[in-house]
Amino acid sequence: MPVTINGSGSVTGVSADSLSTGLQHITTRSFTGVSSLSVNGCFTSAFENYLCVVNYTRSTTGGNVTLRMRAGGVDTSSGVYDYGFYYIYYGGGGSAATVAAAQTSTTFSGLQGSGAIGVTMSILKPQLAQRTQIGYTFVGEDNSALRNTATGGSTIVDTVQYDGFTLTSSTATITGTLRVYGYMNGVAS
Amino acid sequence: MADVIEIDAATGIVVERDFTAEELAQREADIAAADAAATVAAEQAAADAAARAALLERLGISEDEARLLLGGA
Repeated sequence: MPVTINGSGSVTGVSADSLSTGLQHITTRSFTGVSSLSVNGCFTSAFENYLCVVNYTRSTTGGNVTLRMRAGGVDTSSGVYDYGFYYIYYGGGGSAATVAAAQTSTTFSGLQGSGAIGVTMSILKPQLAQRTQIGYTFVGEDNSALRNTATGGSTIVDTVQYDGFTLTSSTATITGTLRVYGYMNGVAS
Repeated sequence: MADVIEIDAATGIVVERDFTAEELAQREADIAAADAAATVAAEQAAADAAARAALLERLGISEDEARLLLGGA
């Protein structure tokens, strides 16, 4: 069926499902030369799952980027973060896995260069009173400018209903753009 | 330049500020923990490399030969 937009701006020929699936934009912000980036109020009851895309550069090499979940404007810094990731060098070098449990943050290491870094994170069910899960992929460079990618996951082992998160760079300042979207669930058939 | 940018997605308000005392203390603890972990990892890597070199010497083969033997690239 052809899609038709009539004079009043309403659309016909589009299924309810196609209008209720995909991503809904929540926020986009640029940041310059900061050590820490906090987003409040981006996770609400409107969506179960979220996509977060961050593109940034680092002012210097070394250090790590960590993520903490946030509720009511306060980071959770207790030992509730379990994570594991696998990073692969494709600019030279090999690969390695890292796992850690009961940490005070989720740490993304191996991406310590000063070049461009791209991050996509799916943050699952942060607003529900159950464990939040995060799946992520980072692409960037290590502190020797060897290009690599890291893919992994994290479970926040608590039942806090989170409404935001914080990314912190331990050594470098970061400059870039953050975008958050909500996954629309579609119409159940 | 501010340490922190805090974005309120609901209102669009953006606050640029320095670390609070609590955040600064947490940051210093994070850096100390990361440094300690890096030291442990470096020590472990050095110990592994020394053990590997000693084993290769005992076997009388090179690292390339060991990799070939184990099917690595």
